Amino acid sequence: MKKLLLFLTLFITTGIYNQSVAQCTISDLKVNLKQVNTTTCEIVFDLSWTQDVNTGNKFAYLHMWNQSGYHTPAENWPGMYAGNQDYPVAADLVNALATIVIEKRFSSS
Amino acid sequence: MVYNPDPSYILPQLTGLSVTKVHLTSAIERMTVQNVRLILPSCSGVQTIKFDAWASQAAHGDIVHCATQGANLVINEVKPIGLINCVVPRKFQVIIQNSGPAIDNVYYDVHIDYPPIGILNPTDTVVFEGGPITPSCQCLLHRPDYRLPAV
Repeated sequence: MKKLLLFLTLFITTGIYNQSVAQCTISDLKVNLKQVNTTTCEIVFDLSWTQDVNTGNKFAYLHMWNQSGYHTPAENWPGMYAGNQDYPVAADLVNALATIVIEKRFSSS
Repeated sequence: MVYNPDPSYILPQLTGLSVTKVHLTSAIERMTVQNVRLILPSCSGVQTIKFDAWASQAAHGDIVHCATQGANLVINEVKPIGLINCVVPRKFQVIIQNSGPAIDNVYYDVHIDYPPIGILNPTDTVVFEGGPITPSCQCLLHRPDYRLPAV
């Protein structure tokens, strides 16, 4: 008998802003919280998003902050992602909790 | 300092951490990073984590081709629970527990999960779409006994 599993996701998606700079789109960024350890403050979650794929699709970057540190130092962030050279560097990510880079060079699959 | 990717350095593979992509169409894919572990500076009370994502199609990953920003994860506040009753006729229940202040515009979807398990993919049949709802403080939203479709 085929096993049925229930997969429940709850997303709070207010305030998400999608931006297409030039030749691709990335959207629908969602977070699925799985565990919270209130002793160690470790959380476990899944991240997912939708993006264009082509033979040139190579890198995806994820940056994470807590609320108070988001997009700080504030003076560094106006215009971020607006142009193709407007990506965050070390000075812009000084208050970030983590960054994940996914590389998939030379492949659209 | 610029954070260009360094292909020569690969982070050690952590237990459970995985990246899966599912093609939704020939030109669009759904990327899922599972089991990201993050230690917060504090986990007392409600904590909000903010996310940006951007992608590059450049050889060195140093050109922004698209971006999305401002996704939220609120911790210690809203907890969704799914219950399934496998006795025929199969049914399910949804419980959403909010231990924080009222939140506007919460949407939720209930899917039947087909492999790859735990990853949203086109075969995961949506059996219920809920919202927008505003779970008030200390509430339980209890959706009793929805019938699962026959399979």
